[in-house]
Formats: sequence, structure tokens, C-alpha cells
Amino acid sequence: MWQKNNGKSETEMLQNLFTAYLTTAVRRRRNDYIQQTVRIQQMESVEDDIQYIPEQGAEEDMFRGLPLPMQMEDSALLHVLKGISERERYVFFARVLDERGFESLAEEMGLGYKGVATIYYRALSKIKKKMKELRK
Amino acid sequence: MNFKEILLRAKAGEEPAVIALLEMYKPLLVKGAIIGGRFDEDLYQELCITLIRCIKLFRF
Repeated sequence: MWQKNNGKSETEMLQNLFTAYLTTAVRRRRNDYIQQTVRIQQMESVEDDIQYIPEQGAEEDMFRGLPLPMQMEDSALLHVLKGISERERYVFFARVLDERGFESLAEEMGLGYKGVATIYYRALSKIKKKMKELRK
Repeated sequence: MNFKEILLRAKAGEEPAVIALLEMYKPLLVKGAIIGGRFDEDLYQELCITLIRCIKLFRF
């Protein structure tokens, strides 16, 4: 009982409207689903990374003091933090969570004050940019 | 029975009408549930739920 839908009669127009409505809903659900699976995969790999990171005593202490990735409510932030380099992450965490100054970090990492500051602000702008993209 | 009747019946919660719509839109849902060339059953299920929600929410 298949008929060509010319979109002429009332019921055909209605059917077309409903199909368009459904198509949009399906596309949105699909995108959400794909993003969800990607996030879950990335969350798993972040966990792996963090377990391997501790090499030195100081670093180990620092990472132990961190909230576990699983306890982080904002999976978007976690996703973004995974995206920046390990050095940037280290400087960012040391400054934000451990409240260490650039001087002590510079000394530890064998960099100048400006070098550490650059890394920190670059990490910060990367995080902001990526968060903005994700929020869209 | 034309489409409008089926949709109205489905909206009223008549199961045969909902099933008819599910059958009618199955190809669309199956197409949407393919990720990277593979059929994702979980996603297909989600899309079936999406269809049922659309039937309820659609206004005309």
C-alpha cells in the first residue's frame, strides 16, 4: 500500500513534518550518543595516564592529593585536561591546587620565571578555549 | 487508515498504532544507528525511544 508522498494533501504534509521532526531528534540523539562514548573512552585513558605519571616523590605526592578523576563531576573539564600536555597539566595543577608560586616551580623545572608563567597561561587559555568549544 | 489517524492513535497510546509507526520508520532508525559502518544496537534502542518520545511531543 505504498504511495508516493507528494506533500499535497493534509495528511501527507503532516507526515512530512513529522518525518522532519523525527530526523532532527534522531540526529541529535545520535550526536549525543557518539560524544558520550568518546568521553567514556577518554575518561578511561585519562585514568591510565594518571596511574603511570608518578615518577618522583614530589610528583607522586601531588597526584595523590588530587581528587580522583572519577570524583570529578565535570567530565568536560576532565576531557579538556586530558587534551593539554603533561608539562602544562603539571604546572597548572601545581599553581592552582598546591598554590605554588612561579619562582619555586621555575627552580624545580630548571626554567626561568617567564618560561613557567608562559606555560601556565598557555595552559589556561587552552583550557578556556576548549571548554568554550565543548559548551557549544 | 491514513498517517494522521495512525499518529493520533499513537499519541493516544494505542499500541498497534505505535508499532505501525515504529515499523514505518524502522529504516530511518536503522540508518541513524550505524556508526562507522557498524550497526550499534544500543544506539538503535535509544533511537526507538526517541521515536516514541517524538510521537508524544510532536504538535500540529
